Amino acid sequence: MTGTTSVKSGKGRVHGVVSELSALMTVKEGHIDEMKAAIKVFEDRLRDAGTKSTLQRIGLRSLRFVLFDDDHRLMWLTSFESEWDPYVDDAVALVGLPVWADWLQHTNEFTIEDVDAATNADIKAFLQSGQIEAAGFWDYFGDVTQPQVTKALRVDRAFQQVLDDPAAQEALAHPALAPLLQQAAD
Amino acid sequence: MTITAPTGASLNVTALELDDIQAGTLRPRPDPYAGAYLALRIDDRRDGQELVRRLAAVVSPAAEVLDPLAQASLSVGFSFAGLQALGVPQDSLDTFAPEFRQGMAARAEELGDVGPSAPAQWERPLGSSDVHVVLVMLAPDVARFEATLATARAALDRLPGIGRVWRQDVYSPHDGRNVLGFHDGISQPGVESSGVPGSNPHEALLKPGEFVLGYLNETGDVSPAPQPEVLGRNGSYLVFRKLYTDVAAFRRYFREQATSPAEEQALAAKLIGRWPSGAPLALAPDHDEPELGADPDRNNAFLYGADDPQGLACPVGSHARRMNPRDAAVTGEVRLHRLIRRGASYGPQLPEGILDDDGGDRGLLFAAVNANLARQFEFVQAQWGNDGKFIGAPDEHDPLIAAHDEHDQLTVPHKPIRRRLKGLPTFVVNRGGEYCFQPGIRALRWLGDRNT
Ligand code: HEM
Repeated sequence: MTGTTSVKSGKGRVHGVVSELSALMTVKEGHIDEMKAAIKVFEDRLRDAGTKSTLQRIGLRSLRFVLFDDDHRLMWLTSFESEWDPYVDDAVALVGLPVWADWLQHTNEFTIEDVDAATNADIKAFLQSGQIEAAGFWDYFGDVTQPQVTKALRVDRAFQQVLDDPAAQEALAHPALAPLLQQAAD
Repeated sequence: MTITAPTGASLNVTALELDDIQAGTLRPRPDPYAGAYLALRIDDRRDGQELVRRLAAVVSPAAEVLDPLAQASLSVGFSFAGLQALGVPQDSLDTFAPEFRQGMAARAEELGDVGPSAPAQWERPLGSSDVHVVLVMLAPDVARFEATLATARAALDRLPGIGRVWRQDVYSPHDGRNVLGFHDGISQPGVESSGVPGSNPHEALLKPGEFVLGYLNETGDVSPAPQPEVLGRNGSYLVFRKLYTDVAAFRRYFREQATSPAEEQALAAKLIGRWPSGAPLALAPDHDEPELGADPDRNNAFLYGADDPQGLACPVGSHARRMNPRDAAVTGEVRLHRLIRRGASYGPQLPEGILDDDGGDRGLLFAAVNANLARQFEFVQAQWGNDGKFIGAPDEHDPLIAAHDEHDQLTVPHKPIRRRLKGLPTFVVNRGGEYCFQPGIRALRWLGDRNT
């Protein structure tokens, strides 16, 4: 299978800084147990990714694998920070081919015989082939990025530490710190 | 509004049948009060049925107890094991709420009854299949309590097949304050067509099906009554828990946090959400106002949303605000999680000023009535009590009733700088309880008259 990595699907809805990619696939006959195990591995990898910066580079915001139709079909729902289309090559590359192929190989749509020979372009073309645009998409934090949220939490932790200090009131009394003092009451 | 029952009978689902509903289902407890909880075991089914027949003639209907200050009441509830002991057929037993069928001890994980509150530590025979019948007597004074107790004794007379397995007396301490020194039992929801207005003029009356089975509830459904209709309609679920309260730990904690007795009291009030007199922090943010606390027209007439969204007066995480966030911005719909509370204090007061535990057993015999155990009591205990996500504080739990670990804290909003109460000890331990079905009075007759 060949494909160019520059083709854009043009699908996927956007809410603020987030976009979605949803795809439907079918599970290969007799592969359901392997599929479930591979999904678990994929999920664990993301949960254990350790540093937030790795996750930020991958760009995934949320991910959902739904097996339905008596385990015959798979719905793959993602939301992604910024727009999927321009970043799809990056995301495929960052997660790594083997990790994608690990679960994709249990779908009928993934027709590459020799998984080791698959290319990023194959994965991308494959994901796009199953992509369906969501009819509706909403994200509570649609207007803020992960680094903004992470930064806000870091600042809040530091701020709470300051507030726990008995000298905080005196220190925050300086006029330059008035905006901070306004945030100190709750 | 009426609906047609499976039997073809037409049932009114909005107007409560107050002459058939037990007083213990709808009426708040009197204040002041004296009373007792009595648990019984049915060893002989015929004696059990005779007992239920006698009780049907003496339990107080809600219609009679309109003025909580004037009347004493005797009410009766059955555990699931109790209904089995009475011979209620299996196809009927299967129609009761699943949480009730399991019983409170089996719900321990969901309720956070772990560690010292775990059922293995409970006072015997609470949590076992030996608790079948629970009689609740509550009266405005000792004399009327004694009279009610005599009525209960008469119902038990010469029934060797009934064992008296547990008794807990309750009473209001001399100044009307609970073991922690705070007035309680103040805030109660009002119920449509019940004749009780509720204590907050800003809270619309709740639909009767929130508290009585077989009536329209806040979701627009008829709250499912166990079958047959004669058994389930006008019934309700009573939750009781014997909540030991470590008064010495409470006093010591605030002594350590504060530099003056006034500050001790103010911080403790922030944790509760009311001052010792019962005056709500929402209306009296700076100091206790005993006249306000004692005035039933004013002491619950408030909301949080517009006047105190940040919790500067009443902390968002305080016990009372968690247990009824009113119109504050929290996850969920508050009206789906309301309880009629009938809790009562037990045990000797720890003398004023004493900071060391004297080993005395004291606390709150917590009691609440609801039609849906999962959506009401269990939700309130687990989501609002043992969790903090609904107020955006996943690391905080109810400072009074939750079990605490060393990271637990209560944020006390304050200008200019908030305060955090850290290292909260666990103040309350559950020593046992049960879920009881409180049938209507016709249902009691049906239970007593069955030929099994
Ligand atoms: C030893 C344990 C407890 C103590 C000492 C205690 C004490 C209090 C006090 C002093 C108040 C304020 C006065 C009032 O409105 O009655 C209150 C309110 C309340 N408590 Fe508790 N409580 C305890 C356990 C519980 C439990 C286990 C629940 C429910 C799961 C609960 C639910 C409520 C509710 C619903 C309110 C009324 C809030 C409002 O409407 O403003 N309490 N409690």
